[in-house]
Amino acid sequence: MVAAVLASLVLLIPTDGRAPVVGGLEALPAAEWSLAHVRHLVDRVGFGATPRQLEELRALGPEGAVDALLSGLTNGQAPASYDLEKVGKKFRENAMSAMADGEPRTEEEIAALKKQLVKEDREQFVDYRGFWFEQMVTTSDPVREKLALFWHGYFTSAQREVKNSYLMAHQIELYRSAGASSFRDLLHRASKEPAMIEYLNNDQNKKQAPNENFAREVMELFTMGPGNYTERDIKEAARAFTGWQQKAGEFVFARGRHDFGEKEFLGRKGRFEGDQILDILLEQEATPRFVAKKLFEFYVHPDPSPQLVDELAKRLRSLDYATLPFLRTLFLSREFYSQDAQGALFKSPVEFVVSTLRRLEIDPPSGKFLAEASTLLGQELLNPPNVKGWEGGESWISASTLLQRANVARILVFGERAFDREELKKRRGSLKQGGGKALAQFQALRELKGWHPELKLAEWVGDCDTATEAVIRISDRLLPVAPSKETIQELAQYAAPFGDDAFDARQPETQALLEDVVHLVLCLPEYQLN
Amino acid sequence: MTSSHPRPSSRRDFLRSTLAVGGSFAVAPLWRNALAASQGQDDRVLVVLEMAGGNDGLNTVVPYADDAYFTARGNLAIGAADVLRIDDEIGLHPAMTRLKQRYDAGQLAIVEGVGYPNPNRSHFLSMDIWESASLEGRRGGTGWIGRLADGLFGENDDPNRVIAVDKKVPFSCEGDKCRAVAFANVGTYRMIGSDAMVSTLDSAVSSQHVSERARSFLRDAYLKARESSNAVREATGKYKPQAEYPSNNSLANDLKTTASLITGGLGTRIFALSIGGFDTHNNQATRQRRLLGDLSGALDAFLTDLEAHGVADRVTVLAFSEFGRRVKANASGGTDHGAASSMFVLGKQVKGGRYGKRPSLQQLDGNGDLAFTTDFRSAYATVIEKWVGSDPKSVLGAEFPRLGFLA
Repeated sequence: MVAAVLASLVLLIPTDGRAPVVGGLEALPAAEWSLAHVRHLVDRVGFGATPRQLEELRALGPEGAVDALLSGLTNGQAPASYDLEKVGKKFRENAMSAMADGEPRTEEEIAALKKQLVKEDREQFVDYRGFWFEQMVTTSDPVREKLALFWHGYFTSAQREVKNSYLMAHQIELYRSAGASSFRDLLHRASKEPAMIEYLNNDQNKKQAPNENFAREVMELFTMGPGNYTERDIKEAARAFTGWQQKAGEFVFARGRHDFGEKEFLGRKGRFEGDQILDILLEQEATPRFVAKKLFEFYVHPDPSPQLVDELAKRLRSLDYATLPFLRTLFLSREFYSQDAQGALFKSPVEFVVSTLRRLEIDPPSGKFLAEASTLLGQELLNPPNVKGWEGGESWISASTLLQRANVARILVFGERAFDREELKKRRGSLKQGGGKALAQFQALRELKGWHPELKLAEWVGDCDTATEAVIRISDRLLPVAPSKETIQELAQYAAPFGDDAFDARQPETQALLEDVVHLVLCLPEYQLN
Repeated sequence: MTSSHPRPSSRRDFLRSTLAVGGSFAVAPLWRNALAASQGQDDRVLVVLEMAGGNDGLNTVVPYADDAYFTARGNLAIGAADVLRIDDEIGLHPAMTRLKQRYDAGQLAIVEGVGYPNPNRSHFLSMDIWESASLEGRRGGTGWIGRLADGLFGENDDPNRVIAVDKKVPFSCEGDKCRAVAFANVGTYRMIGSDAMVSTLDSAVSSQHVSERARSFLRDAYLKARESSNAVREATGKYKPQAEYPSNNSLANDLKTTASLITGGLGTRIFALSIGGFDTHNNQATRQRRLLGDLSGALDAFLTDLEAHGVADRVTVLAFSEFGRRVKANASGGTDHGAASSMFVLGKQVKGGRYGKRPSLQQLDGNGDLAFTTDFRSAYATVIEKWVGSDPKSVLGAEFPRLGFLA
């Protein structure tokens, strides 16, 4: 009680502009719940929403809204899943035919067969990735996909190295179906995922000569984080993981390769096996801190204080690593809605692409195109840059990716017409920026043939009397934070070149300009925030 | 939300002035004049190349005369008959024919035994140490190229002084004042739209008064990107490569981009590039052969191109990896993370030869790794002082002995 009173007092003291730490995980009172909070919540736990959806969630209050958003994960319902069985069968057939199938083959035949397998695998990979993008754009359970995206960057693997679309799809399907299960469970399962075994070379880890790659990364990237173990701990853990292999897409324990001897790990001695090493790691103080901090940074803001991380870790530990109730606490907390958190993250390329389509309420182009657009912006899904996944934060924004965001936004608003010279000319002024050579770089455009998104501008702004009103309506629908006055003015001037008296939102000419305004809003610095 | 900050940006005025003439560049950027005045001898370019993943220095600069090497490496060892022989002790990996020719021409310095005390075997933490030039890694706050640029350019507004030809700005290029721009492809480094749309966006962004960190970061990034992309486009418009760059070689593409920027007179002083894939826990023989072949072919074509353009004397390349690899091979035909490795310095002004000291294969550290003999910051100090003409101590925080590869 006293603590709560103190906490609320601290809340009133303006310090250095940062929200107070005390009471960070305390729930936001329902009385403070506003549309801005709803918007923030939906942007963070999913991929944004339309004004109507926001209004519905607002009416539910904070607990009701959070529970509604989490309901897809809590009601045990399975996500729309990719037909892994089909992929699996194909994968096994391919693998089998690649091996000796009894027929003698010439070297040329073997080379041709390999080439064919690589091609088929590539097609299947692209197909699966497109499927995932389409899910993200169309799902009624975006929280699930967002969480899967988090785990994909956390327990990451790359097709570049795994070179097997079935294993990659299998891994992502784990994160989509079991991402909200306990971290304890997920750590064990992710460590045994065939893609992980391949990616971190554990298939080559054997008693006679251990391969340390997985043992190192499981401590540095999955559990404790650096600085909490020695090189010797890595060597000893590597021995415990010897014999963890995958065969034809299934985890297998190869006894003959396993080192059954005694290990000394983090100050303990025993004949540890891989699963026991994972359990020991889960007992370490550093592990809940590490995991909780990563989740916090993904969902809330990049600078949690050490005290707050302590509190988060304590919560996660007391829940025995149950992810879902931990996230619920987080999504209801004051800290989640604090000034420190609002607009403090940058949209990742996947979030940029997916949330733009959801906000614009248009039929999406193919998932294959969306994957290529995201790649262009610096995030190639299922191919992270390294074992740490994506760095995120400011690293999403470089001079070049920022300009590309404007170009990709153009495609999302105009579809096939995006780089049509005539179209550009019609819209006030000649085309000086860009040319055919630059456009050729947008290889992904091939995927857009016949895609004509149609904005519902009449519905959005048809009743607006002035350009300023229309611009505010559009930016309110799209931006996570309010733009500056000057920005609104510039955009309004664009939408009404002959002044507000001549503004008529129902005129086709005006609607063409308002389409441009939508594009301009997507290019603004504010839109890159989350 | 908004603050009453004074409008600090001369960049905004620059954009206004160029946009006023319809997006063409009749008005010379302000910094061009400053540059012309200060340039003098200072037109030297440093290219910093990260070989990410931990290159196996031992199979790059091979101690082919040392029995201990063959014992430790078994099947992975490269035999005396295969190496590109440098002298009686060492030879280069057989895929590095082009760089061997550069060595023979006296343009390649090999620095052996490069590392730092208490080696970290995490890719990220070790790369942080190299990129910050501090044993504290990121806790040191800024990158060494960033600090170098801060000292050289101060508040200079030209966003193209430091360019990462890469998808993102590496930590090495983050200074207090300086932050490099990054782009991997000149062709797509532009915003496409009608003049009216682009100039509306320029005005909408440049007129913003924002104080929040993320928003002002984005605003500055936008203005910088626009200015940088305009200048890059102008500079590279007439570039024609004068060398045959190897195909299917991403480093060659990046170096070609770098050459187009250098020859186009953009005024960039430091380029940061990277080539990945050196984390050879398995199948190392095939993978490293390809990687070192790519490295060698790309760098040679780059230098040939610069020579043909008459600017090779102005350029030095520094190439390194975050660590070397375990001396004893693993059972996967690969090697695990190790410690000391070798680095290269390449250029026409470089005094070719061997520098540093070859680490002993008999006296390994407690992990079975090569013990470093030469602190990597000695190489940095040499480049900072002898090539860039700046003060190493102010960048590195301490003195490190210079190496002799630059006069």
